[in-house]
Amino acid sequence: MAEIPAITIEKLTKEYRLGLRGFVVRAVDDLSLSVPTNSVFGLLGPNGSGKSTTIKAILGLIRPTRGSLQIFGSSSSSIVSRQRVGYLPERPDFYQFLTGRELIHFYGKLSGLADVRLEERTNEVLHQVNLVDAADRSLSTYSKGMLQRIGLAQAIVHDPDLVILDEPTAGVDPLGAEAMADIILALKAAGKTVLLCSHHLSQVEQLCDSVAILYKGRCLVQGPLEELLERNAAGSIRIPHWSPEVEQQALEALKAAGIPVEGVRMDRGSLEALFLEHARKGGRDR
Amino acid sequence: MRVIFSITQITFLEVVRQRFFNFLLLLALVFSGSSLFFQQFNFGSSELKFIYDLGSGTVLFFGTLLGVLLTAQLIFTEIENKTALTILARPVHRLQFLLGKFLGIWLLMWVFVLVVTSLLGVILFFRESALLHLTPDLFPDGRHTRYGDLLIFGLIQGVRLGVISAMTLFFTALSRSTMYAMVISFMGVMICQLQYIAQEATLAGRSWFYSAFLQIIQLVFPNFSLFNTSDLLVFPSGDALSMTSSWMIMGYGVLYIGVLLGLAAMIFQQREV
Repeated sequence: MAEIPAITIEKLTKEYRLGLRGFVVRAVDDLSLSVPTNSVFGLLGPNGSGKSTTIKAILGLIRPTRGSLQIFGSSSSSIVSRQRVGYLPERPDFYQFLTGRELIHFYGKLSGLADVRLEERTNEVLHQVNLVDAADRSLSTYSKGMLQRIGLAQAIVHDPDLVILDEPTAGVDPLGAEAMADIILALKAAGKTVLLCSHHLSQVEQLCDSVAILYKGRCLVQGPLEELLERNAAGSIRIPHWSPEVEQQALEALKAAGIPVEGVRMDRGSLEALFLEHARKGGRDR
Repeated sequence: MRVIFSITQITFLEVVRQRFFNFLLLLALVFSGSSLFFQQFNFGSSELKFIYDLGSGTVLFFGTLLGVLLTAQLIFTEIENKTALTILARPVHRLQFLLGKFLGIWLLMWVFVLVVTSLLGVILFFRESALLHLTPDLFPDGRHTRYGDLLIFGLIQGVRLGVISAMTLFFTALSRSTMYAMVISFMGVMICQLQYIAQEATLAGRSWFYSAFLQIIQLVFPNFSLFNTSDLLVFPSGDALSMTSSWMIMGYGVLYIGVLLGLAAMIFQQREV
């Protein structure tokens, strides 16, 4: 028997009527998607492409104009479907007067966790997002990265099978983004499904098994990331200790093997890699 | 119920820690306390009535402000901060969300009424003790103040503020902006407060259409003049308000709270957040 996908979207259309004249804006247009279980699925697209609307429709927060949505086979409009879902919206502003632990307790209770299990899960997720030391501090003292991580903790406190993350690294520094990426990979390793909505394409490439690219509400392309990237594939050879002589030798070797070379360029390394290297070093030295 | 109580608890904490609430509470306490400055006039038992009127007026005025402003602002803040999304994305019914929010605000209203009424009781007690000592001939039968009535006054006003919060919640569910919700809610409170005009006009018996319109208004909007019982309590000039009447007024208020919350939930159910 075929496994039920984590998310099934069939011909989703969402229209909004604006103003007194009822001017219609189509936020999502005939979108069909299937997100397999135990995978990281990237929902990509420029601002206004319909990503957040799609997520809200999946969570039953808005009603589709047409089409159907299912979470693990249950209609997304039913409360039951949300028992297996965790959600982190883009830049949420959580209750600043609560501590991290109190916030997790609150969301755990909403998800129906019993007291003993709630305490266990709170400690587990705080450990998972590396906020044990800051757990009893007020959220008003948290940095942006910490707020995103506590946001992720509230999304996974009830151990959901599907985690929906809308721009989880927006406004977060590279170290925070890296920490978030590690947590997402850990979730996948634990058998969870993650729907990731992000503009941070290098991170999406690093994390996602499949992607869908939306534009003006329509899905332009979707499928396994490897397959999609292979369509535009071009090989590259990286020479660690470059010199003009080494380059010449490499080019001659390729030419002798009958391999055409499109061009040669210096790879200076990325600023992100440099930043992470020094930041990690700094963290160890402190 | 656990879900509702969790939302109630968070809502209560959220509002208590707002500067706006603390500012209005402080202002209400200063207003009630300011009646002490009038003791130099020494107008005997009518001074006590003056203190009571000022205190009860403070509860009515500042309570109404709190009920409308906090309720409208709180729901929109939840939506703007996206905490409403994180709550409703869980197995939480929208009715549970609204009930939790309402109970948190109503709990705060009770705290407000309790604090201001308690202060009023303390001021009345000490001032009456001083007047008993200074002008015993004005108090031949002992104390005039019926302190037990303060509790009934507080209970009735607590229910009235609950009706105001529920009505604001209903208008907030209909509105798209905080300001609109606040303005409409204040207008609603005004209509409720001026219900006696509609009653008088209905009794005057003009055209059937006009009378039917007024009767609908009287049915749709709760009659707040029923809650204006302060003259029948503590220092009643004639017959005091009976316990049965007090319970009936409170029951009337609770009935409206139920209906308004039900309507708010129905509208909020259709709302896209």
